[in-house]
Amino acid sequence: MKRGGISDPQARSGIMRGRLTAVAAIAVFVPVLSLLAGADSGRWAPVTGAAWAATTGGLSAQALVEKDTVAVGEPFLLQIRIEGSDLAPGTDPPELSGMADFAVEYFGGQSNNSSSITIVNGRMSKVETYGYVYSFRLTARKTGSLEIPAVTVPLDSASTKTVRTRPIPIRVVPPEASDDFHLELKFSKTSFYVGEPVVLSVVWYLRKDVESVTFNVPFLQDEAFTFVDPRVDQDPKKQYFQLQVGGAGVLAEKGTGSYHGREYTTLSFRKVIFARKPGSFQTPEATAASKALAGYPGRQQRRNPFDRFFDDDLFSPGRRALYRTFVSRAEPVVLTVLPLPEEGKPPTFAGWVGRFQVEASASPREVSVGDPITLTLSVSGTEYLDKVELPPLSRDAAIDRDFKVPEEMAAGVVRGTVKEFTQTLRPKTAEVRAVPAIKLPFFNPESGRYEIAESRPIPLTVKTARILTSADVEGKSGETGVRQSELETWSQGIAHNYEGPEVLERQIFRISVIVASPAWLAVMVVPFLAFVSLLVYTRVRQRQTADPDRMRSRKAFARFRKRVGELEEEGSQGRDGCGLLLDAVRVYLGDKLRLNGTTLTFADIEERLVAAGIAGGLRERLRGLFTACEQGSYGGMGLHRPFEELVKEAMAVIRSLDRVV
Amino acid sequence: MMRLLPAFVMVLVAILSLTEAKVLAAGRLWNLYQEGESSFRQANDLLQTDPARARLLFERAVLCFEAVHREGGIENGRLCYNIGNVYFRLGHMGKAILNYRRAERFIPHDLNLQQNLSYARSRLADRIEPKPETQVLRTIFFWHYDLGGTVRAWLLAAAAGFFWLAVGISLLLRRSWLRYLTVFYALVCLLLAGSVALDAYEQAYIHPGVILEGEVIGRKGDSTTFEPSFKEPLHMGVEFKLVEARQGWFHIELTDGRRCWIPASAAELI
Repeated sequence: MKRGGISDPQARSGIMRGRLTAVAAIAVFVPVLSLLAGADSGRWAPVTGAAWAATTGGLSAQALVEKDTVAVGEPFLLQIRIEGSDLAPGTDPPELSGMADFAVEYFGGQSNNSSSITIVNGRMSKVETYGYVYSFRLTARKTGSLEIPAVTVPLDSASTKTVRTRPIPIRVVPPEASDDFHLELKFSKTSFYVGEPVVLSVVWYLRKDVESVTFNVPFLQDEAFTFVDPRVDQDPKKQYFQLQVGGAGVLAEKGTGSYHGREYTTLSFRKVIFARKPGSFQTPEATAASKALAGYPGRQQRRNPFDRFFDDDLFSPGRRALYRTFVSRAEPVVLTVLPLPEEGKPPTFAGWVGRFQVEASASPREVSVGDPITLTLSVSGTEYLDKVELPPLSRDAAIDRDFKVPEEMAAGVVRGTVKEFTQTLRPKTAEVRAVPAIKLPFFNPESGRYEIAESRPIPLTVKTARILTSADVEGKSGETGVRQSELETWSQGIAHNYEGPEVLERQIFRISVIVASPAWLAVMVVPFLAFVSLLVYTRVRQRQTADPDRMRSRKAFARFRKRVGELEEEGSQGRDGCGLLLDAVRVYLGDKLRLNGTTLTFADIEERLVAAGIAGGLRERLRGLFTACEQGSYGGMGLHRPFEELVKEAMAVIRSLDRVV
Repeated sequence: MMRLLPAFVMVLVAILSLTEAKVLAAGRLWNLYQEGESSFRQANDLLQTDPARARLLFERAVLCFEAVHREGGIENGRLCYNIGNVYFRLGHMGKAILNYRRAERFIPHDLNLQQNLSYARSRLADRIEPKPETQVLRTIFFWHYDLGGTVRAWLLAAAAGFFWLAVGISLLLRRSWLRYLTVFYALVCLLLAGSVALDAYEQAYIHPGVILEGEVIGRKGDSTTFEPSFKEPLHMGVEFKLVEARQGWFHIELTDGRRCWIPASAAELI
């Protein structure tokens, strides 16, 4: 890859100061751009570091070409890369019109920004790079040692800041001559009037297999002409290819044709041209550069030139085809564009050149004064109607006298061979009897004079508008009132733009995002949880109300333990202690067995204990507990063992009982 | 605890640097947006006297607005609406409708948006009537079509809240009207939940789009060798639903239910 580095005058003073920056730039940008260049196209050669030594103020510009030796007419890519800054919106691309030796096509530009975060041993470093890449396709016009001059690249929309690339030498060799390829520009007319449609056919003749072809037709960039794609009625039996010519897509048709007595396969496309100004023009040299199959080593060549058009060597590994580049050039054509005569030019002439017919229709035809009538004008005649525009109807004196014609008019629509225009008219008075004949002048190039296309008048019935006033409503219609007009909504045109910070607020439209938001989920879940809580509460309350002893039974042991704890805290001993302990045991058994516990004896509960499956040993321990407490409380004989031991025994017996009952 | 300190500091620094970057980005976006707004205003002023300069300013305005949208990641209905307006002024009805439709997802009931979208549609070369059953569905399931997705989602949450409230009160009070109220809220919840679920499905699996090329031939298959589906080509601004995407081709369904294939480069999805 060839390249030319920066030569910005402002940069030179900062070279020494920016040495470290430059070294860093070499280290960072060279590998990045090598990757970028590789990603753009496999044909771009790798970048070496030396050309990147020039940077300033964080900005650098570089011009790169695809190859340094090309044939005349063989297109090649030129990229201009800016590093260190993104471009402001509205910045124009670099001006390359001064390159007389090359035909230039602008292929557009794009941002080349990136950012990366690196964490090494816990240290985080963030690198942000900004850049912009412009792409052009150049085609050399002559042989020899040429030079792509230094290009000034604007960095903002006002071009106050610029950088310059370095010139790049290019060697241009004569194209390889071959009788297998020819290019021809054919015009339906070479002498025609300004505004007259003329068909240009670009025909490429070929007799060899081709891998790819690039057309360069500089005439299509000529500002003295406008170009329109003609309607292509595709024949299903024919083959068509989408090609890029002059930055736009064209549909090329495959066919056969004869060139200087020899039969060729052809690839052709058409454009309709309209001259903007008179004069004599010579078409610049057009070229078609193709990579053609030179053969397969040891294999027979294919016969159909299009067999390899979109073929891929991936499917024939080890069978590499041999390709060479051939450039076919078209002979220049001299075009004579005649001016439209001033003599006899009607004042309402709108630039129509050709032969035209006009038909008009209106709807509705019965209206009141001021009501809208939709007038449809159908223009036909010439094949190419895209450039035909309707002059303002208000220029017609008869229409302007009888009708109110709005300034806005819907754009014409081409339907087949007819272009339709619609216009709203409003009759001014009830005396209007018809839409008059619409007269549209045109220049007929065959007769060489101006003629008029005229539609037929359309009869109308226009009634006086009856306006309901407030006086009518109040029954004072006999009184003189102010004439009012109805306020109608105008449906044409667009409404204003929105302004203010709310335009930059981030909004959400995806339902999945809304229903996953914490707020929405909270609104959905909280009432449900509240309901579940209420349900549990009411169920519990219901059960408690239905069986109040159940709760008493469940909490019996807790109450017993509490009473025993109080007894220990109070330090009760002897007779009182035994009495209180006996009460606690009775209350527990009463609660547990759903009985009145205050007067219970062991005999009262023994049967129930047996029915509840209490083991004999535990029953005997309970009986002993009763006996000991009753003796201590009522017997007056004192205890056979310490009171603390009795409390522990009571606790153990009741705990064992509670587990079973 | 001391061993965790460096990691904590690193996370803190990262959060602070991200916050700073966000603030800077917001400032840059605001400047870009203001430049676009100013260009749009100037272009409107020059539209009658200097159309060529006005066009350049409109192009600059759309560049700014689109930079805010794409590079700034700002998804906003009014911004999309503004972009649509600029494309309308530039005469690109396809991109105008595309951006109005994008805006419609955020501000479906904005009157200006409805007016502009309707006017832009009226200026298209192709007139494709929607399927009659679509109109019937729109009338029957009016809440699905007339209310925005966000509104429906919140209405669903509110209806669900009232449903649980009504069920809760009926636990405490036995009233027949409470039972009817519960059934009513249950029905509302079901209808809204169905509508929201349908929205979620459509947003995930149905991709509408707009044709941006001036003229494109709808074909019966995914190649130029297939015959055209219609006698006339489709024009810029025609809206469709994507049925299938293959390499370089879209299989689309028009609003009247007819289907065809078009090159993917000729259209853009909303």
